[in-house]
Amino acid sequence: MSERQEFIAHIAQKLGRPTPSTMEPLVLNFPLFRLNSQEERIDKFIKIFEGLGGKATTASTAGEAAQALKNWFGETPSWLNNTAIVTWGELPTMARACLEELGWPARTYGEIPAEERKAFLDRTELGITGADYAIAQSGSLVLKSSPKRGRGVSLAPIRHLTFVSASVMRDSLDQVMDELMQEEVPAAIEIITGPSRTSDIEMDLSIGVHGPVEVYAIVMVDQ
Amino acid sequence: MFPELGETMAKIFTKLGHSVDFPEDQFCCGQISFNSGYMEETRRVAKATIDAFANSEVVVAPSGSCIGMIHHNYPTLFKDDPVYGPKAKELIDKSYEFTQFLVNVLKTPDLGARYKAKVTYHPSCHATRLLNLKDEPLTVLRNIKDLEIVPLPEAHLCCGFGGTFSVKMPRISEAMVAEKAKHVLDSGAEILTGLDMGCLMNITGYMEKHGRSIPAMHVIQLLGKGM
Amino acid sequence: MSLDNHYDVNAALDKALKDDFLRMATRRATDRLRNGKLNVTEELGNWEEWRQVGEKIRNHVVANLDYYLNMLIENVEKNGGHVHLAKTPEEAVKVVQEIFKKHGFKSVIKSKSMITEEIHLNPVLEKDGIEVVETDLAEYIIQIANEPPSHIIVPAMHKTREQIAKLFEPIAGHPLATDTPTLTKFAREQLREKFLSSKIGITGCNFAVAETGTITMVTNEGNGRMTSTFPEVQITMMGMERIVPSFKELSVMLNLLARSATGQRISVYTTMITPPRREGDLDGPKEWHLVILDHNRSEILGDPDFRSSLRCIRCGACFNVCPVYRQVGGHAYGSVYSGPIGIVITPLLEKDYEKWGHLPYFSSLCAACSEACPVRIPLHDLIVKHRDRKVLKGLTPGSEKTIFKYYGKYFSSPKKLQRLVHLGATFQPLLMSNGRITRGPAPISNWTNSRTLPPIAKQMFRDRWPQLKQELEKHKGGDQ
Repeated sequence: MSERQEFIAHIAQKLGRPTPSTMEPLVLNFPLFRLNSQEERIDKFIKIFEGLGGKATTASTAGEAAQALKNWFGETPSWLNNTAIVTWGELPTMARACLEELGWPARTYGEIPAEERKAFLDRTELGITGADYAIAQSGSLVLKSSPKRGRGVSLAPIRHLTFVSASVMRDSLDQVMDELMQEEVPAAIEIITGPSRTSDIEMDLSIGVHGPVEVYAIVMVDQ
Repeated sequence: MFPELGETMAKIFTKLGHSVDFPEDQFCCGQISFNSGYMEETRRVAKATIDAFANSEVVVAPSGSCIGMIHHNYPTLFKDDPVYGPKAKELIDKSYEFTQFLVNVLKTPDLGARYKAKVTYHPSCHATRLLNLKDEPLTVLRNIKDLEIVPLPEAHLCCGFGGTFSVKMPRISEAMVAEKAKHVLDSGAEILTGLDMGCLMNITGYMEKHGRSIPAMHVIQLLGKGM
Repeated sequence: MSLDNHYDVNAALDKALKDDFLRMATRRATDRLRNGKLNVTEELGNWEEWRQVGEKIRNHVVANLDYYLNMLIENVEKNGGHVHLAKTPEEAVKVVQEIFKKHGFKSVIKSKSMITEEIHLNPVLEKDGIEVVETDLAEYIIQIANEPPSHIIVPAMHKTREQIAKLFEPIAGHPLATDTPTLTKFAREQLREKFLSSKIGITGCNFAVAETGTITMVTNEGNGRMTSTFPEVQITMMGMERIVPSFKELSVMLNLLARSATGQRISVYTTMITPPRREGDLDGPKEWHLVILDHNRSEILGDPDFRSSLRCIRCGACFNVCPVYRQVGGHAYGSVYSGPIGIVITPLLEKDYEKWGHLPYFSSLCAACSEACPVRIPLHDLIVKHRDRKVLKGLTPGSEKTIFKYYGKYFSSPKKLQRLVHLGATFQPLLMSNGRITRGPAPISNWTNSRTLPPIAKQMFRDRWPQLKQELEKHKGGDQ
């Protein structure tokens, strides 16, 4: 018997029966959180997102998105320079157009040489990504990993900005999980909810630990 | 130890038109030995209790923890006993803590009692959690005219009695009762009330030894005073 | 699993009960977390229903652990991960040592893992000349202080900000201000370099998903993500019972865990990793090891009385409502896992009632823990069960055994007892002052040292009953 077989057999013996070869899936019934409209969803998401200390708004054009960024960061942020912004390779069109309109330089995570990537992340002021889903009930963003993206983009920079389409906004986590189960599983699925935080010092809440200190979201809506 | 509880209960039920009996063979529900892990001794005592009430139609006790013991633990105690298993179930089905009986079964929370005092209510752990007690004790208290009920801060905290716990782990027990006593005094009440004399004894015992104290009266004693 | 080899319960209790800051900090931490849970579960609604679903899922997994473990292992290996099955803590430690030996790494970053505490990994790695860097802020603090965690969710709650600043001072090279932003910023800067340069990371696991070979980490600081994103080699440690069948059950458990542990709807970072990195991925580990630990969990499985304890999702809700924990904090227990769940699992994981025999008595059986548990483990019943086992093994003090023997004899025979009580009532004046019992021999003195007792009534109810019965009959006949 291999080590694994022995390990499993030992458990089966403790359970008092041989290991089953098949299993009926569990039937689960739990209360569902469901909203009634897209508007409600977006409103709830923004409310909760901002309640966590983030800033969010809707935009239907790149122009509107650009204006939002100027409102948040200023016409020309003090921290802006050629290496301040890093983005996913694969960004929503509105995000690209928005950066172009602002004229803010940005590099994709992938175009930075691998050996410079980590050092680069250490100096990055703003990471921009898209999102695969958003969750209204908790104000969360769901980001899957892929070669065209980069997990570090939403993690290392001081600020994280997400462009998320209203069409992928869901009411609650269970809906997202149902959809994720139908898709190929990537190396990482990050469910991100607010800026990094800790209460480890005398239970005193501190925002901004190792992950981003500030989070921003642009919910892209159709005209 | 507190015969007036039994007496008051008997008088209340008689007034409501029920006949009252006190089977002499009863003594103890066995929680003290059960909680210490002495199951054989517990079974001995529990069987005597079950037998004592075998012919009673309904059993009412002035103690949430005793009824809690019977309801929550007798099934486990007698799960392998073909004779006492069913007998225990019978007792469980017909036994009640006093306020639950008054409110949920007799549906007479108002006994016409009147007693002027400012009280705070300590929700004994076993009564509250093992019996899934909800509002019954407070309902009975609210029906006592002129009684003012003030909230007890951090009421959910155990008073540190825990039966043998108070004697076996006295230092932790003391720390717990010290905090509970502080909350009782902070409530501004003149009288501490509750469903379990063990808890009340524990809290007043500590208060008496440490300067400031208010008296404790079981809910039944309050009723007795008010009728 | 102890803090010392010879654990002196009384000394530990003494220390804890005299430490005013610790007791205030414990109250503060547990009140905060308990209230957080109450608020966020009220917002969710139907909490009892959620608890029942949680119980159902965990029961199902535990009852079929072999099946789901098999599935998990298969899927992890299919994805390119390496699975190591460790029956004992020693085996688990050895696995990790071998990985380091193979690569020759001299430094590692760690995010929170109770398993690594359970197996005492850090001291062994350090002896091997490896720098172990705890990256969870609280774990970082207690690592510098060389202390064990005092709470399962907020491990450094027993430390003051002044103490923390002092701990950081030698590393900073100068004194630090004690405000939270300064201290947090210091930790962020210190650990940043480690995050971005470490070649190997060790993480814990909140839930492993059998169907996909996925590991879930529930964190707030970002260090868990750092540890699983940048290093090329990653080791994940998990207790073998921490499995869910699929993403569907995971969503339920995440809801229960976040709300119960910290009063959040969901943690800031809920990370579902299915390592290693995919072809073309720009980050994530290239090599991934999953170490699955038994450490007598299989024994618990085979013990129907205690099997329910394996449902535990390590949320800490029981700690936050425990009135004993509230007074003494985590260190007083002497075990890696303290609080109510610690009382239950420690004697089982360690298979030792002698060393851990004091734990089952760190409870007044108030049942607040059972009430708070999101997966409905009947903790207070299990605590009594341990006492039962101790009695059956003959491990309780002789005097106690005798007392209960007589209890069984007398309390089942009311007539005998009636005589005893009358006797007690007659002689109690010897122990009384001012109408109260104020002293007595042990064990009565354990009470009277801090409390008085009311005297035994001169007339027991059963003595009064014959006459009372007559009076009541008369009343029934007459006025109502």
